[in-house]
Amino acid sequence: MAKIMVVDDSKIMRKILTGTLTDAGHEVIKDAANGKDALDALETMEIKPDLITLDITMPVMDGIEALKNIREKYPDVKVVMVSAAGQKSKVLEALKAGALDFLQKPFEKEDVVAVIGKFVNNA
Amino acid sequence: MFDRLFADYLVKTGRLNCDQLDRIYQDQQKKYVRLGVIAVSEKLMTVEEVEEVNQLQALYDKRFGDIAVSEGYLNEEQVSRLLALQGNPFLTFMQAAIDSDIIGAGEFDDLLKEFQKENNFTLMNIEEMKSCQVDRIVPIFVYKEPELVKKLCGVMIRTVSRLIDNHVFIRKPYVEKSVDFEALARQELNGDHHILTAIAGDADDGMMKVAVAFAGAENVSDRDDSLDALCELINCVNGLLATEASNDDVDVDMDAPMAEGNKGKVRGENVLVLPFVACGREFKMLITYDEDYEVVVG
Repeated sequence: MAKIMVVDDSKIMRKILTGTLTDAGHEVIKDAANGKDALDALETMEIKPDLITLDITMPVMDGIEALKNIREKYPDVKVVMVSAAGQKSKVLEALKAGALDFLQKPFEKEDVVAVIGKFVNNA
Repeated sequence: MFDRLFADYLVKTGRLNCDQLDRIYQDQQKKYVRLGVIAVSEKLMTVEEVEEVNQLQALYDKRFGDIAVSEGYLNEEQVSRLLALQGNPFLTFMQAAIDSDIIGAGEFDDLLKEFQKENNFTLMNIEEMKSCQVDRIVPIFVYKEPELVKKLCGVMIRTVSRLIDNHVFIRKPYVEKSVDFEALARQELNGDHHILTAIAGDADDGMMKVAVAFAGAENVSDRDDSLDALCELINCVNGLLATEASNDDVDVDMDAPMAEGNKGKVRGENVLVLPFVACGREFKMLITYDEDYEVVVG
């Protein structure tokens, strides 16, 4: 079981991801609606998440900018992108900035569990 | 998809009532289409020839295809093609309507001709639509539009069919300068092209049905959730379009989707409206392409 943070501007998507990850035995300890809210939350969290699922297209601060900040300030926190924006350039930019994997929406719930599981099942 | 579109036409023209349609839809689920029905639909045999083969089938313990071949009505290749069409939704609809004695076998051809004439479709269009494949049907409706818009419409209907309602169908598109909405989910695309993609919903319960199908009943509790789900649907559709476009070196970038929960209008020189019916409710897909638009609320 891992501690996970879900970042997505869609409340519905946060609920879907939270439900899927919880059903798979993980604990979603925080969610946030954009990159800035996620960074603000990380600053105040005593126990950091093992992994963050991060959307790209979000208002205020997008996922790529948030990813760069997270990798710089919290290098132990793993990040998997979960985004509709699957353009080659976006995927490469995210992987280059330190994301471990990229899941494109719309996704199958089993794929989310499998991809997240690759990185946190030992947590 | 074409089964639902054609059924919609039959109801609108008074050829079917809602009770008859419900009976056909219920029966359709259980249907295994007889080869003779498909042979007539594909214009490979006449109704009379099929009846003759059926009578011979009653006399001899042989398959329809074998008799049709021995009588010279079909060849082996045609039988193989007809067998491959047995799960086609339009044909199962046709079979169910015939078996329920609601529409006669000989009437279908005339009804299809009327449908073709009234909608200015070509015979080739009808044959494409009978395939019931989204990728072959959508371009018939949006043939005048730029390539990227055609792709966008195709991705939208394919995604709705896959994630929300596999019986989705579209109605004829049109262009307006101002389109009213009661609620709107929208997203702007930038990069090589400037595109607005939006879904306008008229009824709360319709939006709720689509949202529940998309996100699951446990995740949707009110109107805001419904709109949020529609925004996420648009986001997924545009993401798939952007991904496809990037493979052709066309740069498409997406802004965050936005919801308008109050009545308003989308205005532009050419707002393309593609109505589609999902979960029994009509929605309007709105698109502007490389031109200014405004969304006015209130």
